[in-house]
Amino acid sequence: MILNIKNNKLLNIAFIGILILASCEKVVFFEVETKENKLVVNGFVQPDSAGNLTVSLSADPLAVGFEDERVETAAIYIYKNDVLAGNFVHLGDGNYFIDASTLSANAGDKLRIEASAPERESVSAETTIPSTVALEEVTIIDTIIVHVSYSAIDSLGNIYVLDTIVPHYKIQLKFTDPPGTDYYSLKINYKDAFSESFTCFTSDDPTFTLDGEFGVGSSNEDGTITLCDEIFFTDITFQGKQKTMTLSLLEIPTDFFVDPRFVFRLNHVSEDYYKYISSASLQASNGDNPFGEPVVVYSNIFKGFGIFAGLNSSIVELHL
Amino acid sequence: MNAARSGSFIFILILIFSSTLKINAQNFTISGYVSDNNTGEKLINASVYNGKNFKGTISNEYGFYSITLAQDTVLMNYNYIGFTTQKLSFYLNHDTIININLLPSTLLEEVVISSDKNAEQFQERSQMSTIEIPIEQIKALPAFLGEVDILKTLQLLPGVSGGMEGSSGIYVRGGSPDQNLILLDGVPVYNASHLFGFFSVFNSDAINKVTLIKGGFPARYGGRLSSVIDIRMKEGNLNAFHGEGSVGIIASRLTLEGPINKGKTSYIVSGRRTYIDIITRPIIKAQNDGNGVSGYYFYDLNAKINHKFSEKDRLYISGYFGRDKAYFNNEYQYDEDSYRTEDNGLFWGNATAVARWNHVYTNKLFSNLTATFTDYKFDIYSNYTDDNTNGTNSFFGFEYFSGIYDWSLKYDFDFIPTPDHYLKYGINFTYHTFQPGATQFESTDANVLIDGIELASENIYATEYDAYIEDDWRVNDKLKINGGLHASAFGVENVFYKSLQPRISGRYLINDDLSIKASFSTMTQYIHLLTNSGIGLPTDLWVPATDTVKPQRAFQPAIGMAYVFKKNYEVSIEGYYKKMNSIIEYKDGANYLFEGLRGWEEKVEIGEGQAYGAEFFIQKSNGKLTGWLGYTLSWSNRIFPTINLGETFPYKYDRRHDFEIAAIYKLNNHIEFSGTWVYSSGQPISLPIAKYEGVFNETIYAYEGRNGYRMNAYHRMDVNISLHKVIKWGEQTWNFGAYNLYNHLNPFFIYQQYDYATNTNNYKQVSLFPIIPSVSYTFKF
Repeated sequence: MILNIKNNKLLNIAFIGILILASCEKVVFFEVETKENKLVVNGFVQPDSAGNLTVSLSADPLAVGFEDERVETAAIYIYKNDVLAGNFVHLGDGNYFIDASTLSANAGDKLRIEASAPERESVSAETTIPSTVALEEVTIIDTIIVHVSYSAIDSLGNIYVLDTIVPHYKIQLKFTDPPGTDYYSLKINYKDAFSESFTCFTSDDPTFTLDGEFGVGSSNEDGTITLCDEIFFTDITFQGKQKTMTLSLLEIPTDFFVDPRFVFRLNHVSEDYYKYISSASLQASNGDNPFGEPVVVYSNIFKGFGIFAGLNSSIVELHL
Repeated sequence: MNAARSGSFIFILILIFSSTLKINAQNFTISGYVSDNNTGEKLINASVYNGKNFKGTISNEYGFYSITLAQDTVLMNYNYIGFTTQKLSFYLNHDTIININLLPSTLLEEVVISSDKNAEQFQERSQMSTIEIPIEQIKALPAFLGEVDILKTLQLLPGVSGGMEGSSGIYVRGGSPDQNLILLDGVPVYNASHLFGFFSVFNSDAINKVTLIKGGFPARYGGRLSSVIDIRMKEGNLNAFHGEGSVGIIASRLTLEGPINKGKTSYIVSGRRTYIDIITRPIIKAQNDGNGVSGYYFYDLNAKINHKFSEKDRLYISGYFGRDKAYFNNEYQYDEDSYRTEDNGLFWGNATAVARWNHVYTNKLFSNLTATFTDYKFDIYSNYTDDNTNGTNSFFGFEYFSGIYDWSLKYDFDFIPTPDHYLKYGINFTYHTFQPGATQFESTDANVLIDGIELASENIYATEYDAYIEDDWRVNDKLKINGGLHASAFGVENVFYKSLQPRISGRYLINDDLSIKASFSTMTQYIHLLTNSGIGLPTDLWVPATDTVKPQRAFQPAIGMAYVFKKNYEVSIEGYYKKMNSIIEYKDGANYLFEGLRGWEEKVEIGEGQAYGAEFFIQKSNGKLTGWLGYTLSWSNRIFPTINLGETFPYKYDRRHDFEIAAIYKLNNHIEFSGTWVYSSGQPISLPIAKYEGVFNETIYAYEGRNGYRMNAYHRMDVNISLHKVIKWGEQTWNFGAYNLYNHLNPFFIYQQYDYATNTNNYKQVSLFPIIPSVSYTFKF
C-alpha cells in the first residue's frame, strides 16, 4: 500500500507543475539516420571444448516485431596465437561449430575470429582463455534438518499431508585467486538422476553485493542476500589470495530425488565476458527507469556487435 | 600544510604586507561612499579617479571607495554607468572624506544607458571572464510569460548554457549546475529555481546588481568550481517612499521602499506570487465533479533594512523567503461506511537571512562582518482522513523531506594603501547541516502497518573554513595583476580536507584600446549534488564530501583579449580550459528517489570532466541601441570508470556552437523595443543505432556511446515592446512580448512510440513552447 502511494499518487502530484506547462506541449516526428545492419557474433570458448557461435544480423532499432535474422552463409575462421586453427562449420539456423580437437585451446591462448558474410562488412574479435582456477574445497560445514509438512493432491483429487525433512546446507568453497584483476561467475545447480536446474543460495559475503552481481538477487532482513542462477563477481576484495566463501543453500526436499547432488561451477571468465554480461544485465534492468540513462552494452566484435569470450570452468559435484 | 597553518600564513602575509606599505607623508587619502542621488542607493563598482594622472579605484560592494594621492591639485572624477559624471577639483593637502551623490542621466540621456568612461573601465579591469549586466538591461529584455528572469538573461551570455528548453538552469563553461556559487547578498542559494526550473527565484524588482564570473576567480570567492553569480539586493530608498509593481499573465509583484529615518534608515520589501492555481481552479474543479482541487503556485519575498549609525558604521539586514507548492486535495465517498478527505502535495524553497555590519576603521581600511543563514527544504506529503458513519475516523499520513541549511560567519576587509594596491582579505566559517531524505508514516488505522519513521537518515554536520587574501596590483601603467590565495578546509564526520587555491589574473595594455588578459584559478568544492541526470527536480540532494567521495577540484587557465572601438563597443575574446576532478554521477541504473542518503556513495561513480572552448563577446552599452552579441565554441566531456564502458562521452549540456544576440532600442522616452535571438547546437542524447540478439536470446540495444546522438539545434527569437508613460502619480509601462516569435519547435525530449495505424515505431520530439504572447503592466510611484 505504501509503495502504491509513493509510486502513483505522489509522483503524479509532483508533476502538476509540468502538466500545466504540458498544455503547450507539441509532438513532432524526429528523423534518425538509419544504419546498415551489421553482423552479430555471440559465442564462448573453453579449454579442451568445442567452440560454438551464433551469427545473426542486427536490426533497425525501430523495427517492429524484431526477431533476429540468423546468418547461415557466414565464413568464420579462428586463429590461435595468430596461427589459423580452423574454421567453424554451420550446423543450421546461424549456429556454427568447431570441434575440440581442431580448436585445441588451452588456458592463456589468444584466440581471434574473423567472420564474413555476403554483402555484409566483415567483423573480427579477440579473446584470451583465462587460467584455470580450481575449486579447491567444497564442503558442507553445517546441516540443519527441518521437518516440513506439505499438502498435496493425489490422482483421485484427495488432499493429503506429506511429512518430509528439509535439510539446510551451509557450504564452504575455497579457491585461490591468481594475481591481477580477475572475473568470475558461480553457478550452483541441483541435480539428480533425471534432471538438473539451478538453485538459489544466501550469503553475507561482501563479494556478492546487489549492486555488483548480475544474477537475480534480493536482500534479506538478516543482512544476507539471496542469489540465483549465474552470479558474476570480481576479485576486488581478495585479489591474489585464497578465497573462502560460505553459502547457505536453500532447502531441497531430498525425499523426492534419486542420487541428489549439488553441482558447483566456478567459471574464471575473461574481462570481455564480464563487461558484456554486466552491461547487458544493467541495460535490461534499467529499461523501465524513466530517469535513467541508457546503458551501453560492451561488445568486442570489431565492426559488428556481440561477444566472443573465453572462460575456464572448475566443476565439483557434492553428493548429498 | 594544514588549514590552521594556512590561515596563519595568510595573516602573517597581511601583516608583513601592511607593514611594508609605507605611507608617504605627502600622500593623502580621499575616501567615502558613492550613492545614487535620488535613492541613496550605494553604487557598486563606480569608477573614481584623478583626471590629472588617471590614478583610480572603484567603489566596493557597499559603495565605499578610498584613494590615496600625492599632495597636489586633484581633479576627481566620479563615474557610474547611467549616471552623470561628477568632477571635483581641489587642492589635496589633508585626508578628505567625500560622499558623492551621482545624478542619473537626465531626459534623453535618461533613456539610454550611457557612460563616457565605461570603455575605459572595461580596459582597466584586471579581472577577466566577468560580465556585469545592469539590472535595467535585464528588465528591458523580453521575458518568458512576462516574468523578468535574471538567470535566463545570464543564459544569453557566452560560456553559459541554459540546459533544457524553458529552464533557468545555468551551465557555465561545461560545468554542472551544482558548481555555480549563486550568492544573494553574499548568501549561497542552493536551489535557484521555481516551477521545476522554469523560473528563477530572483525577483528583479528587488535586485540592484548582477555579476557573473566564469573564470579567473578572485581569491575572495570559494566553494564552487564553475562560476560565481553575485546578486546584490537593493538597499531601499533613503530619501523618499516609492513603489514599483507589475501585473502579468501568471504572476504579479509589488515592491515598496522608503526611508524610516530619512537619510539614515531605509527599507525595501518586495513580493511576488503566481496565480496559475487560482485561474485554473474552476476548470480543474469542474473536471473533478466539484470534488477535487489541484494546483501549483510559487511566491517569494525579499526584504531588507539598512541603517547608518555614523559615517563609519552601517548595518544591513536582509532576507529572502520563497516557496513552490503543488497540491491535490480531494473528497469522495470511499466506501459504504466512510467518506475520505485527501490532502496531498509537495513544497520546496529557500530561506536566507543575512546581517552585515560595515565599519570603516580608517580611510584606507573598510571592513564587513557578515552573519548568514541559508536553508533549502523539500517536502512531499500525502494525508487522508476517513470519516466513518459510526462517528469514528481514521488518519493516514506519509511525508518525505530533505534539505540543507548553513550558518555562516565571515569577516572581510578592504585595504587600499595606495592607488596601486587594493587588498581584500578575510575569513569565513560555515556550519553545514545536511538533512537527508527521510520518510515518515503516521496512522490511526489499525489495519495499516506503521513503523513510525522509516528510511530516516541521521543529519550530517560539517564545518567549512575559508581564508583569503588578494591584491589588485597596478604594476605599472600597462600591467595590472590580481593575485591571491584562497585557503579552505572542510571537516565532516571522521575526515578533514584542506585545500590551497592560488588565483591570478592579469591585464596588459597594448594601447588605450587594446589589452590582453590571462588568468589561472584553482577551485575546490566540498559538496556534491545528487541528481538524476537531466531532471532538475527539487528532490535533488546536497551531500558532503566523504572519505570515499572526495571534494570536487578544478583548475582553469584562460587567456583573452579586450578591445574597444569607437568608445562604444567592447569586444572580448577568451579561450579557456577547465579540468574537473572528483565529480560524481549516478551509476548506470542507480536511483535514489525516496531512499534518502542511505548508501549513496555506493550508487555514484567518481570521475573527471574537462571543458574547453573559445568565447566571443561584443557589447554596446551606450546610445539608443544597446545590447550584446555572443558566440561560444566549446567542448565539454566526462569520463567515469564504468559509465559508457569507461570511455569519454559528451556532457549532457555540451554545446558545440552557442550564439546569442540581445538588443534594446530606445526609440524615445515612451517606446522601447527589445529582442533576443539564440541558437545552440543540439543537446547530446543517447539513441540506439541498432538492436540485436544477445547470448541469452535477449534483445540488446546498441548505442554509439552515451550521448552519441544530437537533438535538433535549438533556436528562438523573443521580442518585446515597452510603452512608457509618465502619469500623475508616477510612471506606467505596458509590455507586449512574444516568446519564440517564429514558433520554432525546439526539442525538449525524444521518445519512441508505436503507431498502430502504420504498424511502425517512430521517434517523436516533444516541444514545450510554441509562440507564447505575453502582456504585463508595470508601474512606479
